[in-house]
Amino acid sequence: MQNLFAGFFISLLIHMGLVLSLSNILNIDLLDFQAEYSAPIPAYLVFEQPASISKKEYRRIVINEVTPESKAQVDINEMVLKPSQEILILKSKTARPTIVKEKKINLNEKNRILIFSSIIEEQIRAVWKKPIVPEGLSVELVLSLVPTGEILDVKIKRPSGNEAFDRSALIAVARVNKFENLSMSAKLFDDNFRNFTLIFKP
Amino acid sequence: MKFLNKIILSLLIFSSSYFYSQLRIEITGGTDEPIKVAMVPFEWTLEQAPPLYLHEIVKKDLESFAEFSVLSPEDMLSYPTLEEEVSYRDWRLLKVDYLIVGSVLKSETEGEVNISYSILDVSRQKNVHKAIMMGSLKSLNRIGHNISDRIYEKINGIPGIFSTRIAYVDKPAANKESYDLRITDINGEGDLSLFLSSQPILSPDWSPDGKQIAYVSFEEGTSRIYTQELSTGNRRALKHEKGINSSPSWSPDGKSLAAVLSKGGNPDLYLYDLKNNNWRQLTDHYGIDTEPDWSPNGKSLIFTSNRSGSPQIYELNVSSMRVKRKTFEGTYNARARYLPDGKKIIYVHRKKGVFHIALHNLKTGKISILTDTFLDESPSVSPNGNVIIYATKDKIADTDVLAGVTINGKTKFILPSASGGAREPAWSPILDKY
Repeated sequence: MQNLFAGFFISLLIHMGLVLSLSNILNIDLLDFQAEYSAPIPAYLVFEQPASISKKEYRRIVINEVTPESKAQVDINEMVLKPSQEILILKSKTARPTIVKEKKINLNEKNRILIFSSIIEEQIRAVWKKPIVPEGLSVELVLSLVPTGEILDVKIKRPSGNEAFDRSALIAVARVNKFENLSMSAKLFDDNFRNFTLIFKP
Repeated sequence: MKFLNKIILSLLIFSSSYFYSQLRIEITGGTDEPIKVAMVPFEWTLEQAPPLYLHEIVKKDLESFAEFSVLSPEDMLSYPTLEEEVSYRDWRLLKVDYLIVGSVLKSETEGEVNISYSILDVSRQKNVHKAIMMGSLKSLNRIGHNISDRIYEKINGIPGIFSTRIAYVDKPAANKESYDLRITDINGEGDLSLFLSSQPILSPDWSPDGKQIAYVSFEEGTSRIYTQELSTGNRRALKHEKGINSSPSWSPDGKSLAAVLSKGGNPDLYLYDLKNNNWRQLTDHYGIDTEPDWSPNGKSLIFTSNRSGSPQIYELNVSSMRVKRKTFEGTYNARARYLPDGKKIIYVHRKKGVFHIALHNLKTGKISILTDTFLDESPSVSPNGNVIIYATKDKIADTDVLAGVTINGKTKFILPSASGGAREPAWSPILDKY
């Protein structure tokens, strides 16, 4: 009897391992970061890197035009944010140093995620009318997009406890309806933007 | 076997956390545009003409603190009175966020009306709130303020204050000889007198249920604390002690009053048990302790004391009797009041010789000055914590006026009051809780 169980668990282990490796497990650190927004002044991106990467790798990135027509695989080094240029001071989480060591960080991909995130952030921010709710609330929504930027579905992942505040976030998403300027590679979209979490804080 | 189980369990947890690790984008701060509300004039099915229009009352209420912009009926494209009749496209074109439609219907009872209305979310085409109310035709005004309160609460997430009242003391002036304790609706309507006296009246304070007011009166020649029932006008005098009897503050459970007595030689805080009619001493210090205010949870009191040399705000924990100094900035901080969340206080703060109302976050210690008028005193907080009313001087007319400011400091207003000597405002709790 025991042997049967052992066999079952070993096969379960193997299958689990297969599933995990197939689902591109090494990308974990790329998905897990926070972007902070500051005043829109023309400037460049600054990256705070994990300790394992030397300061020389900080890059100054001049960004040229992004238009809806531009090809999916835009090189980030040649992009300019439209309509306004802005500073993004971005912090990468240093929570998983072991994984960072195993794989060299693909800065370009990370940059793209950050830029498209800030494009999304800007569009939501422009239409979000936050009510006068008590301090310290936050609501998390999960959005599902199609590659054109249209919002297919929005769900409350973690409610704030204040109905009016949750509704204001849902209204902001409904008012955006479709995100503009999100032209990116199919892989980048599938990995990051097909489903993502939006956190609203007053 | 157990070991294997553990491995599988940890693998499962690890893998699930992996699958949940999604891109997270944080949005802080939105647009400064006010929320746009449209209230279609309600359908009116009574024979007689409407004595007033509900949409006008609601518009005036919602716009009073500049938090909403309300569309005028002239600018509307259609006039639906039922949710089913709404063409959302019209309202999206007008950039309306919330639409209110409804009707006033005849009731079977004489002089009564049935009011039904819906609050609709235009962007998502959803019904946010649906209500049916009954009331007399005479109280249509109050029904209007009540509807404003509900709309405010549904959209802003904090209670509306359009049905609340403010008590204040009218000082003698050229055209009148006596002190007058009055209450008024916050929109300046329904101003009425509660108590007239040739001797000073001070420090009105509402009971937590909004049915009584406590105040200090000098009618017997010395100060004494009274409570008065609003509906009957019945007054009750608290047990008088030698010396000063002042600054009553009703406890949140309504069973006792904190106040100041000087029977021990200098002013200290005392607690009056309304059932057993006796005083219990709370603080004992050779300095002056005065102006107590209860925290919303009833666990502590803030008060003004000069025990350190200058007036500062202190907090007394009622169970441990421990006193802690709260203000360190400036040489004059007095008359503190808690905000309803208990995490912030407001008080009179002197800066460069001028008295302002300051907001103080007890957790972070951050202080912000809310007012720019110059002789500001006795602030009182609205029951939703969003507006502060205080007494100040109108420089031009040289009269005493009641002024208000929202807690973000953005919107300021003067309360329309008939007379020119209004002092010591006290904001009521939420009165008609639906």
